[in-house]
Amino acid sequence: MIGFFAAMAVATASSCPPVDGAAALFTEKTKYVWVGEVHGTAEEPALFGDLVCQAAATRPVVVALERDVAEQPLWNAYLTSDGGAAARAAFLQARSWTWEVQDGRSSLAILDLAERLRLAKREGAIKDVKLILAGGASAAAYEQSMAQAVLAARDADPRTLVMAFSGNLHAKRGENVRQGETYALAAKAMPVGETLLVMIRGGSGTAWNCRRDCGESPRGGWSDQARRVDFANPPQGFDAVAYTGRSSTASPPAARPATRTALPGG
Amino acid sequence: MDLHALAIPTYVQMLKGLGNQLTKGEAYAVEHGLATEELLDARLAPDMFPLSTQVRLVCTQASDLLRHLTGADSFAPAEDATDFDGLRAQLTDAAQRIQATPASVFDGVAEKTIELKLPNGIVFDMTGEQFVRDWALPQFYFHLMAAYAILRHKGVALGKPDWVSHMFAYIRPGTMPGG
Repeated sequence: MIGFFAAMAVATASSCPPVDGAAALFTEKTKYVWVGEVHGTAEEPALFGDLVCQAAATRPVVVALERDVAEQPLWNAYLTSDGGAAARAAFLQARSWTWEVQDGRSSLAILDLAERLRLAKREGAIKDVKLILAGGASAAAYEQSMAQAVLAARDADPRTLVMAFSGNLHAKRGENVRQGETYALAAKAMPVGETLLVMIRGGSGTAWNCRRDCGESPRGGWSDQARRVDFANPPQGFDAVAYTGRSSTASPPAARPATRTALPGG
Repeated sequence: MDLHALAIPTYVQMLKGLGNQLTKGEAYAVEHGLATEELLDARLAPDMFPLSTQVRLVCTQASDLLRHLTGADSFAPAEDATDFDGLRAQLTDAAQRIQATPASVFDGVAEKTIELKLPNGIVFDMTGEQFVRDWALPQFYFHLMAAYAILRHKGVALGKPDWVSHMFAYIRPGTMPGG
């Protein structure tokens, strides 16, 4: 929980270390910036928080997170709370914090990010936080519903910028395959020209997520890269890369004992 | 034996299947922050070819099928592809060329004498039917399985549904668990 309290101490709208090159993400023509991460590190949600903070200094910002839309009321309650122990305990009762598949989306780093967003919202630095994980009967529907939720997160204000945060795959303008059927990934449904897709690349180290099972595992990376946003050589399906400039550190589950678990049925 | 009816659908569906497996491999790399080269350069043993070469050799085997049976020009890729799009392009090209081969070109090839010369000087003499059954199909599947196994070894969540994804077309409605 050290990271959580550290974040509480420094996370105000006035304390966001700028990311070199990030200003190009926030120009007026861009309505959506969709940032993808490898789940389960401390550094990648923190970098997203820095990007949100930097964007909010220039544009009205709505944040969209890959979390279950059914838990929006719990998030709303936390975001408007005093952030105290009781509020935090109630917040952490949500199923996505406690469920058995701890794949990095319910990490301490995400809890830190939630706290930064609470403070930012309280200070008026961001307008709102919307959850975008609506599910679906098929892989295609799952992706499509996520895209629709990101699109819907934008309000009527023409200056509003939606800053979405999800796993890398959803944030890619591309396709995947399931049971022999090709389907579009979520970001492929986003309007080209109004959307910038950013892949975060961290340095090598560790991450807490799910491969054959869920837990801390080595994470390869780009340790020789300085912290910045780079438009020069984006990976296929993305418009830019955001380098953390730091080694990756596994961020364990925020609300469950940090023990390795097998994937259901795996 | 109607070698066209046997071989053409087999090659086409397995070439497409490997393309889908590569798409899942690419998705896995994106999801877990792996460099493309980490998969493309991966191999099962130090003296085995990497994934990019296995894919090229799958296409070479498809080309050799037509070259030996029908005298068609080779369409084997000259070099390994360097990204997933390139790998899929090789497979798509091979599948299209195989699929475009009319049945009439295969007339009489089952009985045709095939002389198969290896680079080390060994020569095999066989019929077209023996060539397809005993050489071409095993060689094709050898490289297909090597590519699949490399992806699986690197952690890509592949299984039998990805290996024989063409089988989904035959599922009796209502018998798919959860479907």
